[in-house]
Amino acid sequence: MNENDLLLARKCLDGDRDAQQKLFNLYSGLLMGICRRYINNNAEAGDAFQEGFIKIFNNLHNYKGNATLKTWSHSIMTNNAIDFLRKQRTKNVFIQITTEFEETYSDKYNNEEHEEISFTSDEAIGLLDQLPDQYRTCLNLFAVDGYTHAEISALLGISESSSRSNVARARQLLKKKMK
Amino acid sequence: MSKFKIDEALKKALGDLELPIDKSYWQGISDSINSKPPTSRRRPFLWVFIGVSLVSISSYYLIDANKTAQLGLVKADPLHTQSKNYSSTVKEATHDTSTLNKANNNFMAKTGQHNIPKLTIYKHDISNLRPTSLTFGSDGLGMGKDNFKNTPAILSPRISIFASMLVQEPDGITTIIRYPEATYKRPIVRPQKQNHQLNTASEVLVSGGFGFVSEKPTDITTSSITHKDYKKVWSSSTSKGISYNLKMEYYQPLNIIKGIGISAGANYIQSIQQIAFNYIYSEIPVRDSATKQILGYVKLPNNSQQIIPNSNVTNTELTLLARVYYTPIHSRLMDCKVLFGASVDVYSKSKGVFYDIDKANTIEGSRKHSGMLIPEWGIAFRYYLSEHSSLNIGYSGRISKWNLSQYRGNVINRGLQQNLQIGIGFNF
Repeated sequence: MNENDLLLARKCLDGDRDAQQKLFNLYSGLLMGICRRYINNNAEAGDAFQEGFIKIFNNLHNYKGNATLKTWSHSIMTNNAIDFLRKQRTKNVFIQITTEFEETYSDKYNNEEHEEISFTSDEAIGLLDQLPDQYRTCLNLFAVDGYTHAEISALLGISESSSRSNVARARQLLKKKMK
Repeated sequence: MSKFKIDEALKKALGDLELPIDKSYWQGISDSINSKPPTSRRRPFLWVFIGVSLVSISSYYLIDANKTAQLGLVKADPLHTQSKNYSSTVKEATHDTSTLNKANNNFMAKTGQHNIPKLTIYKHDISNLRPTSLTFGSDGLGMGKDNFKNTPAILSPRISIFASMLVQEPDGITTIIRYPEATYKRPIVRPQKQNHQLNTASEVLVSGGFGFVSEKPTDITTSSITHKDYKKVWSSSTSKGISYNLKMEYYQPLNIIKGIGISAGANYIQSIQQIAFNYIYSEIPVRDSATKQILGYVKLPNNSQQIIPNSNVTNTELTLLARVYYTPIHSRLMDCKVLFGASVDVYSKSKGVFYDIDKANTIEGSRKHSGMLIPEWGIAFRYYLSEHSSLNIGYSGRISKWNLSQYRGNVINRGLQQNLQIGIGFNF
């Protein structure tokens, strides 16, 4: 049980403005980073961040202290960023890719990993910005946030094979951009 | 851990990515989360409100059945101060009779019916004159306590006087009611920096009032008054009594446009008055029994005078109202509120001794009026002079309708009433 986090959450619920600002100051940078990773536009990322933080405050009564407030907020902000993308984009962001070709294609690129790779955060963001939404989202979830393909499948409403394909294609595109 | 190096590189670069945050984000988030209804109590605090109305002007226009607008009565009551209100003594309005007569003559000239005063503007013709009370009441005195954090608009008792009045038209007797109103609303406090957002929660506005009515007109200038001078007949009477009202209004903000909301509610008002008639007359009208039009006047052999003291008249009215509020400006410097609405008198009853305008005598009984749809509108500005004081300017208008079939055939008349009020409010 995370007593300190629980206490902070209760103070926020009681309308303690100092506590609310403390929570904001603690996690705002990290949570903005999440939004920016998923959304390739600064202004939209800011909107999603603001919307997500309001959701965090509005759902604090659901926080039971089982995880840290950081992890709990991280999860809400990630889901919110994905929802934001769904709402903002007119096309279907997370399209299904289930053909045999795509699976073969993804397997091919899954096995081509030999060189050392290193980015700064700015470079990484710059590269992710160039990916289509569905690739960027799946790659973020899988590579950065540690979701499994099964979890991504459930979260985005796509098949696991589509998730794998999206991640593989994202890797391939990133490599092309890096050259 | 992913087996792909590109994944590891991304994780390393972005896993704990923190980006700088503009301060405006916190402002917006704080505004939003703290505009919700209170979830916890805080220590109560006491407050006192004092308001002074510097200027209060009402104008009335009568619009006839043929939609010919005529200038009616104009009442100006500048420097209508708090002390006057609280003594419950109502200063009689000043009537511009020359303008009145001019308007009437113009109308008669247009209709060519010089011998039949088909439409004469008298004070009693203007029914249901109640200035629309906007929330920025600029005069009043009261104190209360807030029990809730960010109190939306309820449970903050505040007594204020809106100089409201009601003019009934029970077949002749015109009753003016002015009553103080206890309004359950939040006090006028300049919003804090972190808390000047619009309220986005629904509210129940409850207000009630109890007041004293006292009118002692003294403008009798002639000893020979006829039906045509009914205003003077009326104004020679005196009345005193009590009135009370209770109003409930449910306000629901709409998410369509920021600052817009609708409300619905009901207002119940009753007055109990003792009226002393003191009138002099020399003619009585003769009417066509079918059309109720005045055919002429019969002179009485001798002027008569009649005084009936302590006649009890009870006016009761239940009104349903529906309104749309829009707040285009809401900042630390000033507020602006716009109102459009309509009310319907679903029940209106006057019981007691009334004046029979044809017989120039009093009659006893009860009269009912109902079903009148009255549109109303208004705009109010509140400019914060300091943390605890504000300058309030309010304008409101309404169109009343009434049927004078008793006197002049089945004629629906309409009256336009407008009210302008400027005042200062202090909150401690």
